[in-house]
Formats: sequence, structure tokens, C-alpha cells
Amino acid sequence: MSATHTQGHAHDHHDDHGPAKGLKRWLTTTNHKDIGTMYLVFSLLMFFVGGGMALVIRAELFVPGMQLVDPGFFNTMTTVHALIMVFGAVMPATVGLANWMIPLQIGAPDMALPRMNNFSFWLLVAAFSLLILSLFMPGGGPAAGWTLYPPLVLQTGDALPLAIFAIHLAGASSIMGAINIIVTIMNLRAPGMTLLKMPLFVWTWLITAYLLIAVMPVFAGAVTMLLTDHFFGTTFFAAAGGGDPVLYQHIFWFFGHPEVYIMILPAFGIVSEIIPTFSRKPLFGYDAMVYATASIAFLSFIVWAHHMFTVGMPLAGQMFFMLSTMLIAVPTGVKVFNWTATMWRGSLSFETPMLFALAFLFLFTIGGFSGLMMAIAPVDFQYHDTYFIVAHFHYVLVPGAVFAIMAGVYYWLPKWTGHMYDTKLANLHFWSSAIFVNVLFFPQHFLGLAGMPRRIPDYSTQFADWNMVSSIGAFGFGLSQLLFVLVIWKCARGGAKVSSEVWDGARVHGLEWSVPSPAPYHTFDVAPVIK
Amino acid sequence: MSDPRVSAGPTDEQRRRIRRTTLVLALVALGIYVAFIASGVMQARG
Repeated sequence: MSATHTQGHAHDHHDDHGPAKGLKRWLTTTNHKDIGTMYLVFSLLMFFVGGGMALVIRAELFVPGMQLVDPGFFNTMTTVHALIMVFGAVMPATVGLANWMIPLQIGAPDMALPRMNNFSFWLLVAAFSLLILSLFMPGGGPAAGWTLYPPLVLQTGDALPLAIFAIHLAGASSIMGAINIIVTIMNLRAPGMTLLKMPLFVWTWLITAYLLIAVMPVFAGAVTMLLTDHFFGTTFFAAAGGGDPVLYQHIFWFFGHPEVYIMILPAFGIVSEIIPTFSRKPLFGYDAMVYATASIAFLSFIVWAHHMFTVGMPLAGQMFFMLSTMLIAVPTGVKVFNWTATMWRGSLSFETPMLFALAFLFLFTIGGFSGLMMAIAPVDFQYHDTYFIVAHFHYVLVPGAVFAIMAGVYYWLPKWTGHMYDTKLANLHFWSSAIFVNVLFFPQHFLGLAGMPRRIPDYSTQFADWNMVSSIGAFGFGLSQLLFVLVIWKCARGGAKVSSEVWDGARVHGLEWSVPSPAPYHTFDVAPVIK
Repeated sequence: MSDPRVSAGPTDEQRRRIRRTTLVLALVALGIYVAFIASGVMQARG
């Protein structure tokens, strides 16, 4: 975006009153920057809680045989790890970035619905408090996998209603957050900022927000039906009463596949901001990137049954879902091509955000390719429910979504704090993460191809070696993330002062680089005019 | 502005549009929720 602004900011005209003091600031704040910070801190906390659960899983799988936990608890760990990482870590992290950056990028003073913004956040805290508390209910926590398939999930003990209530609260929080983002983008853009002048991060979030509104109610409906099946004698998903357990799978994946894009589209947006800045070039094919994002979002609604090839469906159905899934590779390929073309003959530099963005580009593409492999219905019959699937979606979500979020944090952190972070420590965090994430997940491709099933606490000795390697990678990756906390902590407390532009030449890439660093508590009280 | 910690808000016209868009989006979300449960009811009835 080559937009420039011609008017000063309100902080030039008003006294910049700071926030309230103490705990009250965080409980009652309606400021988008405060709420963004709270979302980011919350997601980091959840990242460590969910990561701790992943380490329980990998510790148990370090060698064959049962060592540390009983199988029921192992299943609880796999289930709650996934729920926390998806709904408590990745999604809130992207919402936190959206809260911080969307108003700054579109020249708005705040989100359009600031009180609802606060409510959305605290609802999320309530949701995950309940979900974590459900681990301590009689009968143990939810253990049927994050997909909550009936009839298995209906065998859950007292944790079931608590977990379902938690999902409803998290869903309501997401929907309110999505409404807020759409309303903000559609109504509070600076004069002159047409839709096709918006930064890519704003575009990807606008499309993500529509996806959220379309599919979160579907998931809420599915778990409501589970609840009534369990407590009120309905038989939506019970064959004995005329229901159909496969109906749940269809409904779940009608939500579940767009959910993948809800996590990855904002990541695309972040990477689309970072690569031009460190290539010192405008983004190649801006319009094509917007249309590719919209195409991916549309296609995400018509591919859900590729998760269900082995459930059984007519050949025509298999063909449709196979081909529609492969079609997603086209707009995704457009994006990868355009990021590469942006770097082509650019004046590249490799600061920490760029390193994470490049790792995203390579490693997300690996996850995308293994996804293409599984889109082929007859091949999926071999891979289904194996560690190959685990490797695939972790490549998409960890060096994909999580690396992009980390790239975004390293990109905007100086703008938030006014300080440059310890770049040596940040680069160490990058290299240790990039190495260990591959040690962790790449061997899982081999395990899956060799036939190791997912969601098992014990395994045949033929799988021992690669499991040990994967577990070593997991502990290395987990420890590496302590560096991330250290970098952020040090940066928040002090460091070399940065200019408003922060990165060389960043000003032409977005309005956020036109406000001082750290960004004042109130920005754009007077809207800038985009030429 | 009565509260100095609150930034300058949107104009009246923007507020109207914000209210309208919020209402429409909330109704869409609620409608999808009800529609999917209704489809489950119809499926269960055969």
C-alpha cells in the first residue's frame, strides 16, 4: 500500500491521557491496544498450557510401553491440547494482533464496538477456565478427540456439559470478535482508504471474520445437539433412535475445515505485510492476493468431506471432494508465487520477522503439499488416522500459523513497546524453533507412512526410533519458546528506542508506521486522509 | 467528552451504520445456529 496521510493525529491535539491504573485498567478497558495486549498475553499463556500437554504426550511416546500416564489421561491430553491450541492459543493470538493493528492500519481511533470487545475477551477467559477445570471433574476431562465425535464423546463423564458450555462461550466470544472486526473495517476506515487500498492483514482478517460468523454457529449447533442427546433424550446422532452419527461428522467438518482457514488466513496477512517490508518492494500482485484469499475462503466451504473419505460415500462424492480440495492449491499457489515474486530482485534483509516469514513460506508449503497428497481419496485410505495426518496439520499450524504469529509479534513489538528487542536472542529463538520444529514433526511423516495410528499411548517397537527423535524435537521446541518469553519480557521493560518507522522504509507499507513508537494510547482521533 | 480516557468516537451516521451492521451480522449468526439445529431435527425425524 502506498497510502500516505496528510493530517496529524489527535494526540497532537488532545492531551494523551493514559490508561487507568492497576487491575481496573485491564478489567474495564475498552482500548483496542489494551485488549489486543490481553488477547496476546492470554494466547501465550494458553500456548504454554497446551504445549505442556503436548509434552506429556511426547514424554509418554518417548519409548514404547506405558510409562507416565494411563491411557484415559493420555486421551484427555490429546483432546484438550488440541482444543486449547486451536481455540485458546492460535485464534486469540490472531485476534490480539487484529485488535492491535487493524485500527492502526485503517486509521481508526479504536474498534467500532469497544465494550463488546472487552466482553469478548473476558468471555474467552471464562471459557478456558471452565475447559481446564473440566479436567478435574469425576470421570476425567473430555477424551474423545477435539472433534468430539459421538457416540464416543457421550461416554465422557461430568466434564461433558462443562466442556460444551466452554465451547459455547468461546464460540460466542469469537462471533462477537468477528462482528466487531467487520463493523470496524466496513465503517471506520480513514477517508480515501478504499477496500483495495487496505493492507493485506486487514483484508485477510475481514474475510476470516466472515468465515467465523458463518461457521462458529454451525459448531455451536452441533455441540448443542450433543448436549440434548446426552441430557434430554434426543437422538440426533444416535442410530438406535433414528439419528445418524455421521450427520455429526458432516456438521463438524462443515465447521472444521473453514476453521483451518480461520487460523491460517490471518497468518497469510501477516506474512504479506512482512515480506514487502524486508524486500523493500511493494507486494507483488496485491489484487490477486485479495482474490486468492477470497477464493480460498469460498472453497473452504465445499471441501469438508475430504476428512471423511473412509466413512464411506458415493464415488461421485469422493470425486467432488477430491477435486474441490485440490482446487484450493490454485489460489494458495498464487499466494506462494506472489510472496516469492515480491522477494525477486528485492533488497532483502533478514531480520527476525523476515526469518520467521521465510520459514513460514517453506514449511507451510510442506504442510500444503502433504495436504494435497491426502486430498487424493484412494491415497487417503492409506494415510487416514495415521501420524502422517498429525505431521500434515502440525506443519500447517505450527511452522505455519504459529510461526506467522511470531513473525507478526517480532514485526510489531517495537511499535507496541517503543523499544527494539534483543535481536541476537530473537534470532536464537528463531533458529532453535526452526530446527526443533522439523525434528519434532518431520519424522511423524515416516511414522504415519509406516502405519503408526494417531491418538495411541503405546505403539509397536518398529516405531520406536522416530518416536524418540520426535519427542526430543518436542522438548527442544518447548524449551526454545522460553526464549520468546524472555525476548518479549526484556523488550517490554526497556531497550534501544526505535523511530516511528521502526524498519527501514516501512512507512510506505502502512499507516501504523506513521504513529510514534510506542503507539500512543489514543491514535487517529482525527482520521488521516489517504491519497 | 466526559471521560478523558475515551477517544473521539464515530459520527452519528457512523454509529447508525455500526448498529445496523452489528444487528444484521448477529441475526445471521443466530439464524445459522437455528437453521443447523432445525436441519438436525428434520434429519432425525426422517
